[in-house]
Amino acid sequence: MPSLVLLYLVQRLLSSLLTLWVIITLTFVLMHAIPGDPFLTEARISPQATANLRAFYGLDQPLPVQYVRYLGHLIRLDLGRSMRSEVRDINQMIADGLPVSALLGIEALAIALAAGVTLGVLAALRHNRAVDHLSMATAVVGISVPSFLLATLLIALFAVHVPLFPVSAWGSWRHTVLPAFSLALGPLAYVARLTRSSMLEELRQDYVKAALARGLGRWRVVTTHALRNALLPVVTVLGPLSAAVLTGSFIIENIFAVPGIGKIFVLSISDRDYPLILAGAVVYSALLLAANLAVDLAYGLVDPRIRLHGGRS
Amino acid sequence: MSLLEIRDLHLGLHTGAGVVHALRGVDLAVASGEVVAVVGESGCGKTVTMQTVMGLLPADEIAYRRGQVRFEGRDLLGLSERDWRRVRGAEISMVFQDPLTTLNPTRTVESQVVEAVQAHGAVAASRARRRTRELLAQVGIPAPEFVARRYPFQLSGGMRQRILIAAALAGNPRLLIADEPTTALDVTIQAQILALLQSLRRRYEMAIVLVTHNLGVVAEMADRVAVMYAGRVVEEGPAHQILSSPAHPYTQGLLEGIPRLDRTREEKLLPIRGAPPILLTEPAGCAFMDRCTHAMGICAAFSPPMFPAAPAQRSACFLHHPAAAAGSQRTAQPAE
Amino acid sequence: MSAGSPLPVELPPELFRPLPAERHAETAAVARRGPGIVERLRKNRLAMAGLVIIAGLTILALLGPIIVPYGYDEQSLMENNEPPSWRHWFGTDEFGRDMFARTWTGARISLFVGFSAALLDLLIGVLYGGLSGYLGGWADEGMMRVVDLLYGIPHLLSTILLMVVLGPGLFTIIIAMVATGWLGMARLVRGQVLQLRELDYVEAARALGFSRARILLAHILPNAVGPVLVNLTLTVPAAIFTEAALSFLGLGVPLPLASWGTMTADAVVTIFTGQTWRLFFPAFMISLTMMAFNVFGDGLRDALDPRLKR
Repeated sequence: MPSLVLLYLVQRLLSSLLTLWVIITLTFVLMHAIPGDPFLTEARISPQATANLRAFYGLDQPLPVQYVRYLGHLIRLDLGRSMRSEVRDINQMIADGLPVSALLGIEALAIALAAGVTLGVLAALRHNRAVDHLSMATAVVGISVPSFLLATLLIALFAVHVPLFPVSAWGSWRHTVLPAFSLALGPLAYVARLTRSSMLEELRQDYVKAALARGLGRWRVVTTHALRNALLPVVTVLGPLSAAVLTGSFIIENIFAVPGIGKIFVLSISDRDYPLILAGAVVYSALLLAANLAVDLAYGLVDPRIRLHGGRS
Repeated sequence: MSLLEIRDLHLGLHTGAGVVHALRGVDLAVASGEVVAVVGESGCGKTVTMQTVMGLLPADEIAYRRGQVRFEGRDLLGLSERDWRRVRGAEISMVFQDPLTTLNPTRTVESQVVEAVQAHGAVAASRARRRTRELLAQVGIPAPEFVARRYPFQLSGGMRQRILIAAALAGNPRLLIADEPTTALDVTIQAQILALLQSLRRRYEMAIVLVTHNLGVVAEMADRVAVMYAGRVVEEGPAHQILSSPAHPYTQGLLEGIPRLDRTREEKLLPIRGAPPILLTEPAGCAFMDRCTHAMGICAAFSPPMFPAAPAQRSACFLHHPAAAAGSQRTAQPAE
Repeated sequence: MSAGSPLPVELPPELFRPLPAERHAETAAVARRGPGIVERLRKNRLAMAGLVIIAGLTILALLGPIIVPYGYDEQSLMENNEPPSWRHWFGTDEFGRDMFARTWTGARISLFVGFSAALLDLLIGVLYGGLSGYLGGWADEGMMRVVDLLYGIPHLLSTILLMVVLGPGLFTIIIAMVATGWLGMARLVRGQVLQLRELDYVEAARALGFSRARILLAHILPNAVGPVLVNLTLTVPAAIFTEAALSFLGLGVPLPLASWGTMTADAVVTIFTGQTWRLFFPAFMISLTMMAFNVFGDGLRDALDPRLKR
């Protein structure tokens, strides 16, 4: 692998780690800035028990010490103990929930990309005709209706009214359909619009005309030249797209009672379970940064201008 | 019979500001093996004409189109996309102005030329690659195996243009349209590319239409010249003749405007006053009238047809109307 | 040949007399500028529809609760859970409160949150980004590093965390949203300022002796306004979305206030109990508002795009 890409990769990795550290620190400060004692709401605990609990959670130490200890734990990939949940070990909770959320997220992304790209390409090829207007109208609706509202609509229509799919929980593939689709519609619409405008832009380029002038068939020019180049911006946008799917999953998992990390995280908020909230923030941020890094790397490999030249100029 | 014949071509284009009458009766003929230069300022319609010949104008931009374009006697305007595929690249080929934007930036040079080769006859990949090397060598590219695997942005402008020419020749076309092939290149490279075109033309017995606004290029290469203005050909004839004794006032103005080594610094450059008309409306008389120092009353009333101005030279100007000589004699008399 | 009339055979010789020399040449190229920005926007019917909807929603938010004789908080347990009717246009909720009044009161809250967050984002973003771009050099680098770092935090995540810290409240929601919401605007403005600093005509203006302030005001700002305006327009629906998301997570505006978000979240249960109008109206309003802003913002962006010739 050329050294330029390696250098770029290392650079991005370091900057991601830096961002992660900043997030961790900020979240840590925030959690400990919350006024009041986390144990005060616990009903009827003796002062002795409270003191023990505080010692157990290390809350009796001065703040900087707590911070360093926390970082130490993190490096050893130990996310700590939850205060409120039944399963105390946070690592365990994450290990249980992550595969579920990952499945849901990937499913949603796959739908969004496949359907979105197809729709966008179709709209671009039939520019200003019925297909175009229809797809773009759908896309506008798609980016405007929040995923959780869509979810309620889908449940009302396809689970209650016409019992096609289960309302909630998790188990078979049928349980994944409604949540994945709710998550996917926003990104789908975004990808469709992006693909369409990117495709239209490529079709306007001189090299398309030049290729046609050489006698290449229209179809060939569209697929092997224009489409390939048009998809590059879509790759770039995969990072923010993953972020949208990730943050969307908080609420969707809640609505559909999907046992993923989103549900855990949301519960931790309403419970004011600070170690868990902190862990949630760390995990989500880490996932997101990893996704962004992966996308950057992929883009660097796919576009020869980046790969060999270090830039797009 | 001419190789390419354009007759009375009228074309209107949709733009944000309305319909532009881009072509207002273009007449042009190219014989087999000859080099015809099409000259004019930006906006005169030369590129639009060539794109019409190649069928590359998007249908939804065309407001109207009348006239004839024939290649070896066959009508081109009525061709379907499928028919066009057989014509483009194989019979008529086109090279564009900016070699950077006319090559796909994300694919290797080789893949793009091979693609052109394969488009004109089902050829196995290995043979196509060999043919590609041949073509690259013919256009003067050193170390073709090495260059073939590069991406366009890794090569110089001159190389890129050569590659485009190679790709254009892949189908052995009988006519090559070169739309400002050297405008985006350095002057030294320009000369090389022109020389290349000359040698290729002899080797392939190809006719070339050279679209340019650079009269120096015309002097180098052209057999015949057609001067375009405001959507029409206003003068046409053998190159050396037109360059030495231009008949149309516009051509005269163009030649006067060229800086010359033999002029002193005190003599000013003489550009033509004014600017070409924006063709949102069709001018009533001669389109050049407002800028012409020889304008007459008739120029406002009618649009001048082509008149013979000299042997083999024609000019669309009323100065060459038989009655014009009589009129200009009258002006020698004192005003009435 | 000229359009239409062929050349007559008999031509009077006077026609061939030369015309006087001065008659011409200012004609020709009065370059048609093509339709201006406002006209292009007006031609975009979808965007205009969006604008009309926004205006309509704002008016209804102001006037809606006044039109009906019921207060948004008036409970009337005799009339609870009534579907839409002539008396209660949008029906009533489980406490008998008029949904029409509640919807438009909720509109006030949601729109207030949306507009305030967007405006605050604008203010902070413009100041920070403008300053950074204008200063250039090390200061700019440093300021942008901070932005890049904070940009890596997902907006919803940081908003949620801040809400946990700040506690529920109308203004805490706005603060939580703005705390990381201004980053996008800052980047945009800084980019605009940088771009425009480099433009030739700015150099020319400096060469002519215009003061830096005048350059900023007269040249840079008018050109930067466009993208900033687009960003502003598109921030509003994002803010409304975030407020609704927070409501669904239990972090919405506290009682007695009610926003579209909290109304929708509370009404999800009606999918099973049947009083779907309680869910429909606020949910529809959220979607409609977001759509109208998105469409108008798009139209604005297209109208400003110099590349679109048609």
